[in-house]
Amino acid sequence: MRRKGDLAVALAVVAVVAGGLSLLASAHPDGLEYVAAQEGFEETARQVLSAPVPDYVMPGVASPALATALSGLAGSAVVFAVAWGLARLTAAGSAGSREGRTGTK
Amino acid sequence: MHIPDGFLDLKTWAGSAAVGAGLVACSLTRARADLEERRLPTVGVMAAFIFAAQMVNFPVSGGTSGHLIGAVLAAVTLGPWTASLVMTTVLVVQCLVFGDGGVTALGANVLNMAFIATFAGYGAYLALRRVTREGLAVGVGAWISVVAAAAACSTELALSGTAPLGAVLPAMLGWHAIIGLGEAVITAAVAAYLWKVRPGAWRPKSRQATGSVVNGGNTMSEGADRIEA
Repeated sequence: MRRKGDLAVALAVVAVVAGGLSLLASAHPDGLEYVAAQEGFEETARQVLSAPVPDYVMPGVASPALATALSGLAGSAVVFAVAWGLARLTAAGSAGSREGRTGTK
Repeated sequence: MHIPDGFLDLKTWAGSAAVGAGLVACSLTRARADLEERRLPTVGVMAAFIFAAQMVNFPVSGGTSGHLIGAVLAAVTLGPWTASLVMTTVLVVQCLVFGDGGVTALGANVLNMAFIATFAGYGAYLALRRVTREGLAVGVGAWISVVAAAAACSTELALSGTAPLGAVLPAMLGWHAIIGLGEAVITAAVAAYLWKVRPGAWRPKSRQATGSVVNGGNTMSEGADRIEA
């Protein structure tokens, strides 16, 4: 029970950061973008593959704030699912060795 | 610090992708030892938190901004191998879904932020925790992770002939030395909170950190591990 409660609290924190704090993000260029502009190679940036949610703005949403919040929440959900799934797959490969370790304790 | 398409030449991005893929394969094997059934949701939550936190750019002096990388935060709470997989997951989703970081530069971004940041920062943390407080060791490790990733990024740009190393390296290190302070504060604060509310969470084992020398903190965390198991 305690673990389930912890998980809910942690996911709520993620939702607040992804859907709330993300709206307060500074629009200034990041370190690499700034250096690229300064050193004059900014223009060489291209986009090989078009992204479904470009620049963290959910397409088709009129309000910019809502578009950012929704992209943050959707992205967090995707990352959560992929990372959990990957962890499960990775751990599944070691079921035998884990039992072995537990047995020696 | 996500490199877009176009900044790296073919040999550099292809070479980085090959090295990155090899390291991910290595992590998939090594992470197994640190992954336990009941902690798997935690891996997902940490990945989602890092993704969310990376959206929150904080302003840095001179019209620049920075955001958390999160590699050391993941490493000190999940172990470095699992952390590198968490960071890779975040970078792949950012690249494919949000166009943050180029598809051709994905290998370089994974190399820089999932591996170099994680292991440089975590290695520094392991060395420092022998001589100073945990919180300080985590903070300095986090700062080093950002500076190391910036150095790697600069090297890749120079190898690509995009910018001379003598110009891009000092500029990148200068900005990221400042951005790294934000990384240090956020990482130390969140790690301290997680260790407080979850004393049985993953902690580095004494043999990894200090060989045969066991310090108080390790004994405590291992005791907590055992009670929980």
